[in-house]
Amino acid sequence: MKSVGDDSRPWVFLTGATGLLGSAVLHELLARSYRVLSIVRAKTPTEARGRLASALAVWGCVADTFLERGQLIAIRGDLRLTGLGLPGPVVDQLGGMVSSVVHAAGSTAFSPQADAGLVPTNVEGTRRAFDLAAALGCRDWHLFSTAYVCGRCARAEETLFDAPPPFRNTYEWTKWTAEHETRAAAVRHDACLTVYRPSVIVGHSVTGAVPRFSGIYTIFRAVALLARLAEHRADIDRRGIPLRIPAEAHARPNLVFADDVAREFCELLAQPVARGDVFHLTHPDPPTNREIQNALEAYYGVGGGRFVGAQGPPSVSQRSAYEDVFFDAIRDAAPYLVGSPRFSRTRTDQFVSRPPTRWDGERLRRLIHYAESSRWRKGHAGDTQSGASNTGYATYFQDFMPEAHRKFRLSRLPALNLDVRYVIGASGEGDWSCCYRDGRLIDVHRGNGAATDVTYRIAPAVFWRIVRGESSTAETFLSGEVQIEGNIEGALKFATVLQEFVHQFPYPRLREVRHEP
Amino acid sequence: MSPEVFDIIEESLAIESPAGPLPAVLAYPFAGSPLGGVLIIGPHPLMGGGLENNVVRGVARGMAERGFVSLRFAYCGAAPSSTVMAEFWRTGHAPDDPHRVDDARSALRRLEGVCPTPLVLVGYSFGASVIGGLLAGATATRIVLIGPTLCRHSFEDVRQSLVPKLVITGHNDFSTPLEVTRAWYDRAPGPRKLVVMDGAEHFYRGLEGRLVEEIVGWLQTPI
Repeated sequence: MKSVGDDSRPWVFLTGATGLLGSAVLHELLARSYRVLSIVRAKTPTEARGRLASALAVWGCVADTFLERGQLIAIRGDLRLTGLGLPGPVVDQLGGMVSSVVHAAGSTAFSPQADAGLVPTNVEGTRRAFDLAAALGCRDWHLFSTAYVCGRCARAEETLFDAPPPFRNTYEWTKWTAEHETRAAAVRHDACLTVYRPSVIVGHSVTGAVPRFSGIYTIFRAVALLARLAEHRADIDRRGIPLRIPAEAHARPNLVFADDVAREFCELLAQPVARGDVFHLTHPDPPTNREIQNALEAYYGVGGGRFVGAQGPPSVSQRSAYEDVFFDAIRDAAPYLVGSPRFSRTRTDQFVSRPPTRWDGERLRRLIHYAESSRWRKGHAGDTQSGASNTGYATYFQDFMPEAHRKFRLSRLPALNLDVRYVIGASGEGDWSCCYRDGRLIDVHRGNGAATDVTYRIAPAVFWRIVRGESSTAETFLSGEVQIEGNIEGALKFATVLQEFVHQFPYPRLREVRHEP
Repeated sequence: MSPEVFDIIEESLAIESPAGPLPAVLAYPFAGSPLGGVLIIGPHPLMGGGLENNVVRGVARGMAERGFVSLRFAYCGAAPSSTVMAEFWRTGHAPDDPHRVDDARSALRRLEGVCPTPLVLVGYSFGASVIGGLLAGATATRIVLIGPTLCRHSFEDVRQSLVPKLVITGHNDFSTPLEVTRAWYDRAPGPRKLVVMDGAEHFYRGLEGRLVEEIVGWLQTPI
């Protein structure tokens, strides 16, 4: 149907609007009166709108206001599918309607377990997004990459790097590859590609708000858990926790506020002369590791952390119990605590109205406080959706788990004596308890029949990701995706056992699917 | 009729009416040709009737997702005085009530200008009673009454109409006892269907999707 309105403003086509970066960009675009077509992965239009609403709510923005104004449209699509899975009539309707394509979707998972998902999202997903842009006749392409495509280099200019630098991880390689592939595609399609490279994005500069707690937040979370651990140990001086931190005190991980990234992007977008270049959306003066440590220690009332240089964490046999927990937690983010890369902002600074917000202890405190006050919860509708039926849980706990445990040798905690309860889903649709004695699983039953040492509250989707071995247990526990109650120390120790168990015995995906209604 | 679910686009409008411009939102499938038009007539403006009402918004969006053009609007009028409010709470009526039909008629004309027939009138609560004033000369092919306030407002024109009707009421609707709705329904002529929704009272919070399914299912049924 043809629009009945007389609004002729062009539409920005945006991917990734439910993520940290994309939602901040969406909020800023809407605030600047852009009209935005947002591609959202969802089963129903209601779910798509709900996901946008949740993402925008973090920034204090009410999605319905913009949806009803006709300034925002949620279109269901999936980067994993050709043409983003858009039906033909939708593509036809989009043709000639879109003035700019902004690709902000991507995976920022740094763990080796997540590597398999990085190429489909960051490389192939980017390719599909701009293939669609070309098919729609849109020639104004905007790609969000990362400043860390420079890898371990000490200094990075605002230019594409022809030769691959030494990368820290697969994530960086995928972003570098996406930049190069998209540049080639832009040449083929006579499109103008502008690349934006933010550094490590954190929450809002004023409120500290953020939609999810990944990346640097896993370090915050690790300190939070250490503090909770110390509360339960009378023999430990919480101001003198023996913790060696594998980084240099003066190094500066380049943290940048989400609202600054979004603002600078929109200011660049508004200026046609800023097309076709590479822009670093980084911080010129980020906090040092020491400043971050000070903020964390002050907030949690702990101390004792000692920087020991960038040579890596001590070997497993030399670690204290605290270091065991801490290193597991920060393993994936730790490489970003090393070094102080200098990202040139010469080109960006030519076009933006002001530099990013200055860092200080109070702004760090706000980030930590927001995470704590929201209890490290994720607010995404997708996480509350059931991943399988109750039958699926029963099959896992009653059939698969006991059988696998008979073959499983606990390598780290042979004297494990723990009663563990899993409460899965907001309404507890899966509620199972497992009793371990002397490292052996001796009983599994529905519900909570006896006193429980540890309770994990977990969303169905997260549960299935863990048991399939698709997520690191430490990462999910520390990101707040799993809520822990009871014996915190036991819970964290058990996380390492569970990690090893699911590594050796990942639950096959097909098996779960077969039991879905 | 296609069972497909569509992504939608919404547009805010200002509809000219005798009493002044009415804020309104048009919702329709992002792509493809619409199946027909649906006018959503909301609760009394002194009882939460407005564009953001959960039933109004939910049904309007839900019908658009199912291929229809929906139009929802807010009644015109200034903020009521305390006297008007007191009278309303006592009687369920306000002095401007007769003008609500003019508002709805203006919205209906706007929808007719945008969208092809068939036209469906969906009234919720007090809005269901407003439908009676629209029937003369209207092109409506079906009527849907959600939680009609039969004890408070006149539904005689609606009852007597031969336009096919779907009546949806909550099992625990405080505004109208179920036996009153059943008796009214039994006396209505013409094709009709009564749906008593378990777990629903008058506000249908969280049940908006079920309302849409009931309406779409009924529209798919030949009369």
